[in-house]
Amino acid sequence: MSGWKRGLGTVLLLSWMAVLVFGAWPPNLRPRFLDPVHDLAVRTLRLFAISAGQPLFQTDAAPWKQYGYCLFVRETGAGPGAPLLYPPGGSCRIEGLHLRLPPVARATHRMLASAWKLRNGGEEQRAQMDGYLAAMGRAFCLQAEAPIAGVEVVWIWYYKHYDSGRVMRRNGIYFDHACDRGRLGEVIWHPEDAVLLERWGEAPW
Amino acid sequence: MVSPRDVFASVDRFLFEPRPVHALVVGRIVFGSVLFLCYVVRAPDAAMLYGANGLAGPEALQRLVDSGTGVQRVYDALELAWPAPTPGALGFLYALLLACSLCFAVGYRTRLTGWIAWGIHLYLFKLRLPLAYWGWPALMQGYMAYVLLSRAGDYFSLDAWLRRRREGGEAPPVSAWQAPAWPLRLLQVHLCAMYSMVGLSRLDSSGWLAGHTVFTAVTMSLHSKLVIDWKPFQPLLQMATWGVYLLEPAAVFGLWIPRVGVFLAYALLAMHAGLELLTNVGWWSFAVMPGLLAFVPPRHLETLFRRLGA
Repeated sequence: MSGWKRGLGTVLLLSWMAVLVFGAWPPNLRPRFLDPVHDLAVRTLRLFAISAGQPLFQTDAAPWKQYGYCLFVRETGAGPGAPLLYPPGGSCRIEGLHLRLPPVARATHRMLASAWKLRNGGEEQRAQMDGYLAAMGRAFCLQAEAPIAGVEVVWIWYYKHYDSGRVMRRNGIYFDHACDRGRLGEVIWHPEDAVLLERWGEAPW
Repeated sequence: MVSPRDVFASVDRFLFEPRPVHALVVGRIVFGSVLFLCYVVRAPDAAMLYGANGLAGPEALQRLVDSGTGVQRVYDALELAWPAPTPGALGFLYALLLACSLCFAVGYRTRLTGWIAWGIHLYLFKLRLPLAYWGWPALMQGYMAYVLLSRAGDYFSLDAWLRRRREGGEAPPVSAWQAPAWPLRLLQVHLCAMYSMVGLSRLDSSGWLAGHTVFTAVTMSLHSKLVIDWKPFQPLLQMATWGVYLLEPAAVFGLWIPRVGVFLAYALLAMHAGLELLTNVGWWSFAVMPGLLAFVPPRHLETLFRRLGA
């Protein structure tokens, strides 16, 4: 390899390594003046769809630990005992062996969790929240074997207490989506049991 | 006194000195297999995840525009960049991805098939539905690119076997599998950068300090492969949390220290094996294992490849 090619290669390789180092420098140990350099490095990495790294399992010491989530989707107004559009098989199982997490469960959880974070935001955040919910509702509309008028979605959260092992349920969201009009309907964050029963007709959990 | 010339010479040796490529060969086999298996198990959900009627399908998006949500906001919300493929195109891309990832793993037309698999995977995970992954693809895209830029396809590959068959000659001894160091260095630096983000960012995390995190991970159905009553194992899980809490930050610099680095590399491999056994976090553990093997003494991997018949 000729001298200038080797020199250029060295510069490029060291530059890329610098991008990786600055892109991965965690915020808690990064001096504030390096924030623009970090942001530039992250943007550079994103151009190649590459991440330097991301924190996994960031948890706190609160006694109630997230334990499970259940998502139930059914045709709007379906009577008690009607088959669910989701989960497949109609039941949500938390305990036991989970050899793999279905990617649809992963994607819908991420969409709902992202929507939840935006629920108290301004107009733009709420529009984005609606975007998540409506895209999800529409996708479930299109999964039905025959055309349906709409879907109702319920998301339930479960927690386990670190010390006592006690399990607690909390209702995450109820929303409906009109398939024929492509319109998001009622959205209720953390509905009371009574509200959920009134709309769903039976306890989905 | 260290002169600039000495520094330049050290950098030059670090980047261009011939180094064993065994870890990169392992990377080729592992990354190709990961892509193949990942998309085989996703095949039943492909339409819902990536298709026109799926979670981010164009019809869903158009309906949202009609309902006044605003397409740009939906695109932003879903982190989308490219439109959905037609069912036929999705099927073709899917089949091509499976074929190319398998060819990459066995080392057939390694660079061509590897870059095709890399590109289609990029389209599906980054441009279609990044929400359906655990974050490992953005890491593996980098690691896989380094393998693709290296000579990992020259050894223990179908290409090498076909070449010998065509041109004759003996396979090079395993100890002679060497190439300029820079792809290996990129893999090593990127791995340590990842541990700095993962390990150092949690130094002040209350869950880690209290020793709760591994319990949380194995208890939650969204992460755990085995959701049982883990309460009797809490002391053990607490020890595991503190072990990981120390191990990952130590890797950032410790992997580069001879002897310490070997111990850390094997400890981290064991940790990732445990993570893989107990949790569902996509293909994270497999994505980082080849990078850890880049810190293992070459003779250990030579032994492995000899046992595999190289």
